Amino acid sequence: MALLGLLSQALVYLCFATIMGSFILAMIPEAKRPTIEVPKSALLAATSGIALFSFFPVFQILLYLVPNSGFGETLQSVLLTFEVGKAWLFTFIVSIILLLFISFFEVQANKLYASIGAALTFLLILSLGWSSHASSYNQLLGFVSDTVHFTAVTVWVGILIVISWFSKNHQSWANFLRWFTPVALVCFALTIVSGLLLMDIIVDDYTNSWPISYGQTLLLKHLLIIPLIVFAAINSLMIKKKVQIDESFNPLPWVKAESILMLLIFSVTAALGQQSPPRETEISSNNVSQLFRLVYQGQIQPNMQVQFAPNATAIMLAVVTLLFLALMIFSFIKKMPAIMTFVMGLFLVMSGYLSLMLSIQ
Amino acid sequence: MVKKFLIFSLIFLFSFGNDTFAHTHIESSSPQSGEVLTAPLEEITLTFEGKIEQSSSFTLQNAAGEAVSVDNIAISENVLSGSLTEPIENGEYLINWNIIGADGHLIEGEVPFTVDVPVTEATENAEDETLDEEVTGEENNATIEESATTNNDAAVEESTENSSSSYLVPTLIGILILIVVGSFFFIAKRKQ
Repeated sequence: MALLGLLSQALVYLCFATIMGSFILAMIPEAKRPTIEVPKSALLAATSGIALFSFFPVFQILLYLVPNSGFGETLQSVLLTFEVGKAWLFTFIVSIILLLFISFFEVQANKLYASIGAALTFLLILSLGWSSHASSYNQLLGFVSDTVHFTAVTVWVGILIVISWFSKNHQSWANFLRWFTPVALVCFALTIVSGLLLMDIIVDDYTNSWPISYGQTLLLKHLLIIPLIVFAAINSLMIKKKVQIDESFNPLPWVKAESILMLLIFSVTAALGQQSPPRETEISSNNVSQLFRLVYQGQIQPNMQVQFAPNATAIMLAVVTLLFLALMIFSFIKKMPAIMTFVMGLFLVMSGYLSLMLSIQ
Repeated sequence: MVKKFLIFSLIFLFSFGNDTFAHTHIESSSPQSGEVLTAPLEEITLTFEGKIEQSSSFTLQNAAGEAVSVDNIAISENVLSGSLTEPIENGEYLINWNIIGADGHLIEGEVPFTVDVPVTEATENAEDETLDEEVTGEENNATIEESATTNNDAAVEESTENSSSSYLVPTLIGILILIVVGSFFFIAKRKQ
């Protein structure tokens, strides 16, 4: 069940990014981007995907409640009184409107239609923010930071995914980077700031949450951001020079690799949504993550306080982590295929993770 | 497509065994967790950190695990309450609550408490109270000792578990170093 929840959540993010990216790119003049063709069927599928996959949390509640009272009654009460139910009902209605809009209008050929589409997508984002985690604790701040976080990610990753998977060619790449790099930077900054705010709301004590599943997943997400930044640097600064010198250089595999890294982060984020966030972090033998149990070298004590005390092994692993980072860039300079940099990035995450876990006392 | 599936399966590996909803998002409760009540219990209220949805509920059970009936279970915004029409006997009790949070998460938890209403009449009230306090103190000590021993047990279990997996981390480190060196030569060999 957790697996299904994770998959559906990750797919919701992917659908949002695809739609938002398509609309935004349709608003950009053709001289400032490669030729893009998103099939109408893909847009329709992504829109239906939002309505379908965001139903999963409601479905889980239904599954839990239906044995107690009848199906019809439960469905009605969940959809009309539960926050999650109301948010989904709203999402469902808006996605139907968006679905009809996309099927009857040439949204990708007309800038006005594309902006209406983007506005409708933003409405769906608002609905998602409403039903999210943080909004149950600190309502306004949680809602605002969640919405900012998700909007920034959707815009940035959406453009990246659409450009890397639906481009017909790589013409005007330097022109594309000229506007996309600042946009990505702004989105990234917004994502980090709102993400930290959310973390402050959800997690009381970051390092102390590391031994439990939620903390482990959050740490994994943060570690994955490191190779993402490296990819972003390669894709903006280094590729820009390369494309200017050599018109025939194909940057698409590199953005594709970055977008796959994004999908990974989406999946980890989806996994976060499936777990209970730690409010009063108290480590006990039954909430310690199994991965942590496997990796941690010391004794797991109830109520243990996580203290940072790197030993020789941990420092060596930190060096290995940095070496993997260097190899990511070295591999690009040496014109290796993008997959090599990607794999180096995964090893970076692994050694960084081990290094941190071994520094814990 | 194959790549995507590989990635997803990798993530699944990481997230295995994580679907526990065992965290308390309870803010306060009356009776509090571990409280020893010296007055008859009439109402139970559980206050949560955020809004809770309809069909959130709780049950009360005694030390023998038998259910004790609670009436008028009601939900208002973030408070779950219920009343006891008949006084309950002295002994240990456990409130088992399971709620649906506004974010749609099913969360459950428990609040243990003890009822210890003085049986004697009000004549020797003052003495009784001091006695009660002493008893409470002793009981508290007992529970602390108990939990200390279980903690030790857990630690012992943990250490035996660790000894079996202690090869894993050094092996992983070795492999990572081999990969770093290997990849460096692999990349460096590539002609510009």
